[in-house]
Amino acid sequence: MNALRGDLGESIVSKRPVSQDVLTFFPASFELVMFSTIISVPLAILIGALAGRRANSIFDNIVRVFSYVGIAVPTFVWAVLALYLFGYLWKVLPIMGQLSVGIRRPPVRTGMMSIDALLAGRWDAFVDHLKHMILPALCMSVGRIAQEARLLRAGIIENLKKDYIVAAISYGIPERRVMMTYLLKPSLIPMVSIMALDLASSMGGSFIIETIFNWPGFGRYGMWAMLNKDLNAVVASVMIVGIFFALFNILVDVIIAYLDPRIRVMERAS
Amino acid sequence: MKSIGSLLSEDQRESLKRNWHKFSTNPLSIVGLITVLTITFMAIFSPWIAPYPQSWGRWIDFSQASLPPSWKHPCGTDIYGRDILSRIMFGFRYDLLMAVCILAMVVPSGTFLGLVAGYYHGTWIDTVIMRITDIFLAIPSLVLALAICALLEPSLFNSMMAVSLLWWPWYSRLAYSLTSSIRNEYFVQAAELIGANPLYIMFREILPNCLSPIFTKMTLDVGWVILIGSTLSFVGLGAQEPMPALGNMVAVGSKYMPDYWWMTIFPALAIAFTILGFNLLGDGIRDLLAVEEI
Amino acid sequence: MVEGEILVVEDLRKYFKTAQGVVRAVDGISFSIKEGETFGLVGESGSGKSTTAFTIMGVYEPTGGRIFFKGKPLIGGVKKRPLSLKKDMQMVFQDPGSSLNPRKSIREIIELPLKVHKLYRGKERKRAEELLRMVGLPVEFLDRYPRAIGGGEKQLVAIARALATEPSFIALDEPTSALDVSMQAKIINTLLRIQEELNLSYLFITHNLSLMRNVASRVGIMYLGKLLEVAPASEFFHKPLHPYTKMLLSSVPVITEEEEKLKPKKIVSRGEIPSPVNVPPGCTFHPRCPECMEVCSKKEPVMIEIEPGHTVKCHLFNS
Ligand SMILES: Nc1ncnc2c1ncn2[C@@H]1O[C@H](COP(=O)(O)OP(=O)(O)O)[C@@H](O)[C@H]1O
Ligand SMILES: [Mg+2]
Repeated sequence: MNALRGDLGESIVSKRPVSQDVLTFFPASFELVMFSTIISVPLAILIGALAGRRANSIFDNIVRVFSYVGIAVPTFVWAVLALYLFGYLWKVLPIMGQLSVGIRRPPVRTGMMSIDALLAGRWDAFVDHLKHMILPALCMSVGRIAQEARLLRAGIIENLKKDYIVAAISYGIPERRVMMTYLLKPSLIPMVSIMALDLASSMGGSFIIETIFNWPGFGRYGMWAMLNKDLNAVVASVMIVGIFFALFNILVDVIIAYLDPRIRVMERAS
Repeated sequence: MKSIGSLLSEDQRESLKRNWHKFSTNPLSIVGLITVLTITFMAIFSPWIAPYPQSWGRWIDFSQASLPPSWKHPCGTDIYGRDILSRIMFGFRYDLLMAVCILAMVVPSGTFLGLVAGYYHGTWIDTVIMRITDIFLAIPSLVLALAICALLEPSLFNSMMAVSLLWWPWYSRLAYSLTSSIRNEYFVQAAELIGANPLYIMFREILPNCLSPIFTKMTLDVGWVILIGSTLSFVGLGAQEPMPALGNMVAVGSKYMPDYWWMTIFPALAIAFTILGFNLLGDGIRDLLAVEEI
Repeated sequence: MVEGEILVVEDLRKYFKTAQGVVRAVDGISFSIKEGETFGLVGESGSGKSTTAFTIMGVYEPTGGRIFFKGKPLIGGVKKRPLSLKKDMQMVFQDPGSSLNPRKSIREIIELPLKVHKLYRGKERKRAEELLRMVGLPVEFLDRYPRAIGGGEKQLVAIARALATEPSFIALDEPTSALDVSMQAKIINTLLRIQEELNLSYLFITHNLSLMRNVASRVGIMYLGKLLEVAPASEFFHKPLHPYTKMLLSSVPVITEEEEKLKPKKIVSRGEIPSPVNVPPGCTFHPRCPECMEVCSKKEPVMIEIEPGHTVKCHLFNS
């Protein structure tokens, strides 16, 4: 019951109030999850829309196979493969932590290092930090991209059969406009409605990803609490994830109401 | 026992043939079926077909340690000299067994609760069951599984209990929505007017009509359950060494990256193929039944 | 309570609470059914006929009013009624497609009531065959599944199931509306033959008035949850009183010249049936009524008896 008043108790292992630990670690996780959303959603829309528009082309078939594989392969397998390929074999991207050795940390203000670096005017830290985010963010979002692209593709193929789309195309309205105004918006609905679930799996995935990539965030903290049976910290991390998930669900409902005028009308009527 | 052919009527045999034809036109479904059959075969017969059956457990042969893939050891050996291919075959065994056990606990219990809540739609029974279901669904499953596992002793059994505890709500929700609509069908009302008791109506009138979507979800879920189970064993909260569960093989191997890459990559691929196979098969079955229902 | 009445309905009401408001599906209707007779309930779709039947059977608990069956009051819904009562009252539904469980064989479907009521123990199979023969279906049907037989045959199976408990009263909710004409005739004839053999009482619901003259001994006209006119079937077709009844009758197709003469002058059906959420004030029929008077939109008429057994609810006769 104390939890409801914001008092989450003391961490048995770190000997600090759990709420303070949460505040320390949450921003870094939030940054990573947001970054992965920022790269995954446009990518998913692009891939899904192109595949749906050109159904059964070679590109579409590649996307289909990718969507199956992307959904089926667990996050930690992506992470292990990415570590091996990009980190060790080709050595193109950093694989551990938030900054390379030798680069000074920007002063902490928000806890999100990319923003802190910008606030401090530190380009070197900003760019280096972005590079550190790419692999964990990608691994976290492969499944999402696959899932969302697949739904969007299905939605577009479905909507292309609708009379008003066929009519719009036959009236000679430019294809690009048909695509953007009539096709994309309704086709996005199923995709958006699973985004909350996807974000939830990203949050779960962040527990694994942050541990593997040694990202000093909330997921790594939670994982560490679990492995050390730090009860207060475990309860807090489950709660925070639950709250975050609930908030995101509300956000998704708002987006869907924007995309689907019917829902808005119905709500007004009742 | 009578042969299957004679158990089925002409009509049923006909529809079976038609379904198989439809199923087999989708190459992805066939790939899924073959993958699943292969993996199941290896899982069942691993003690007899594994090239080095002793690699199952605490076996040490330093003369064979950390060998890269070769003809003798197609997937290499681990640091104790155990054959990785053999261990992967045993790994299939644990992962499939885990999935089967979890589904065997989750499907009946979740379905039962959903059925009861749906049948007593609008009463306090409905409210209680579905509220609890919603609470479970409100927390991302992986996080909850991790937390529950962490609070118990890490073991294969406990990780199975954890996954079961958070998986039943999906079935109760599915059974609930199916039951809520079927209970308004006239044949259910007819049974009620005749005076059949509620248990009979739930299990003999309503349940048989819910089975095909539940069965479809089950095939689709095998992949998901393996995914979450292997993730648990990857972080050390599931099956423990020396038990060759695929997840902990990846975890143990990843300590020796990148030099001994085969210790990680092959088990990782094995997981990926298993889940992919079940997803493809499940999708094929879903498409089949979706058309059948109409 | 008059001697020989098997079912008496008094001021029965059934309201549903919905998002749009309270639906007054059945709003204070009274009628009675005599032993061995067929009482016909006629009305346009949405007038509350099915709800009436479901409320009598106990699928819905009534919002108000009383129901007596064989002199005893029926209290509560089907779950609270004793088994013996369920044995005595049965129902046949509107849609034969959904009234048989697709996962059960015809045998299982017909044997269920026998098992529940412990009838013909050990001889269920023989009895099921007998019931099928009674409704005119071949006994081979016992091992088939609903999807393998036609719509009319399904309805006959549903009738056999209703007969299995050996009831004395059956509610028939548009038993033929989903079927083609030849099947309709077959089912109606079967029902009438069985009624004679077993001395059954029927509540026969339909939106098809012309069916009624051959089937029902008395008919009630229902509109927006209310009964507007009740009369013996013969009188009905010769001397309809309520403007709504006349409107319905004028659109019935007739066979002979003689009948054509009897038919009321063609009255154009005006307007649609209003929603039962938003019931018009006064007489519910007044917005569509060709003989609407000033009083009609203000005051609700009362049911009065014009001749023995012929009652009507209209201001034309209320003065
Ligand atoms: N379960 C229910 N919930 C809400 N409204 C209902 C329900 N059943 C029937 N109604 C409404 O009650 C009215 C009468 O329906 P019904 O009895 O089925 O009419 P009929 O059988 O004469 O066509 C309709 O307006 C219908 O929409
Ligand atoms: Mg009806």
